[in-house]
Amino acid sequence: MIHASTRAWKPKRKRLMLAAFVLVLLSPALRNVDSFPLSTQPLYANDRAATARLATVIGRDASGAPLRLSMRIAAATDDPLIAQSSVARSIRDGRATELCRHVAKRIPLRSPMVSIEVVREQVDVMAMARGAERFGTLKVVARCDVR
Amino acid sequence: MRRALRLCESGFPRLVVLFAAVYAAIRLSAFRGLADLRASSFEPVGILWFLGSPLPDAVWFGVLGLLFVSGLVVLTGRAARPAMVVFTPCVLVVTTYRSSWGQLLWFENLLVIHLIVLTVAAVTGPIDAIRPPPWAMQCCAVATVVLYVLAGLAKLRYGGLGWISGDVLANHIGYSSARLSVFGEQPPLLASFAVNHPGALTIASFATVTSELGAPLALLGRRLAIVWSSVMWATHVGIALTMAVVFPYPLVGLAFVPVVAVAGCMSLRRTGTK
Repeated sequence: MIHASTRAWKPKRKRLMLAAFVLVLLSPALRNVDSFPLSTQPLYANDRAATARLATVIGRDASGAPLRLSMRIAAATDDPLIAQSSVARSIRDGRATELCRHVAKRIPLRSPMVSIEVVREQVDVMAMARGAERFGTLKVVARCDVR
Repeated sequence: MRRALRLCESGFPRLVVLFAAVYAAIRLSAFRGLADLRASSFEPVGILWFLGSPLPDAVWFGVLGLLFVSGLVVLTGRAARPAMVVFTPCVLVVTTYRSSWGQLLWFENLLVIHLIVLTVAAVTGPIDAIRPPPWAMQCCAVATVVLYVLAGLAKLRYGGLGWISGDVLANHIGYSSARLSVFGEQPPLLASFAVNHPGALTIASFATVTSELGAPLALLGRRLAIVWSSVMWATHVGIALTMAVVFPYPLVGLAFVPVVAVAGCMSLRRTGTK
């Protein structure tokens, strides 16, 4: 008798546990709160325009020509997501000058760069994907000299 | 095929641990680099929500070291269960800490959830055996399916019907290229090709959203599971080639092993009753 009731109860308990597990996984979407590892999974979900204003850091050589900086030098990372958000946050928090000086210290000695600029760059994302646009419209937020 | 699947299923915990350890080793410089980030950028999430400031370097490097040591112990098979109890929290802390700098990353969610399920299964199972019981594989399969459903729902919730038309996807591909280009990197390999073929992107968008929302169908039978897993794997290959964003856990196929294994069990059971 006891054995039979246990056998009937176990699958039911397993189903309940599985339902609870599913509910936990769905909870971020139900609360609309993204976190880690429980997430709303908003990968590429948001709408994006064909133009974008990206925060980045560039260098200038002695003639004033703009030069690109690597993620490693600009934001001490190799992940473009982190690099972008890190520079954007520095600008948003009013720490662009501090970032500029940090970046200037990371410029290799033999680099032709004489100055660094933290910028907002207006780009045509489609042109960038086609490799047709090298630099967008630059709006300088902070500028500092190298060395 | 069945033998390979059974081997994969019985060795699933060790395969996941091996993957997590190798992944952490490959990403070690990125993890180590977190110690160089400015404290003002720190925005803790998840289980680290209570931290008021970044972890001291000694603690951070200690957790990283412990992750590798405990991972090696699990893989040797001796004291695998206690080692897994150390390894999984280390992976959880490391990946959560990486997402605690103002940008949530979605590359490791499923891996961590699978590891947590497998660790609970190991703790509640026989001593020093980490062969997953059926319920653990079912939970892992359900986790895979639910996370893809959530991704599909999010696309409709935040991107609307524009997502299915392909316009949103085209702009995302362009945005990913631009984000790389402003840091001096080349656009992804097939980004130019993709944005020049909007018709193909419409098909890809529709296929992505429908296969994400239809993920639960994969649990109904092995063939469906294999087809669905193949479609999602191809989606990740497409993302890597057009956006240069790599989701390693699905790309190596481990994310889909529980789905195929569980659906396989269901179809085997059906055959057995004939």
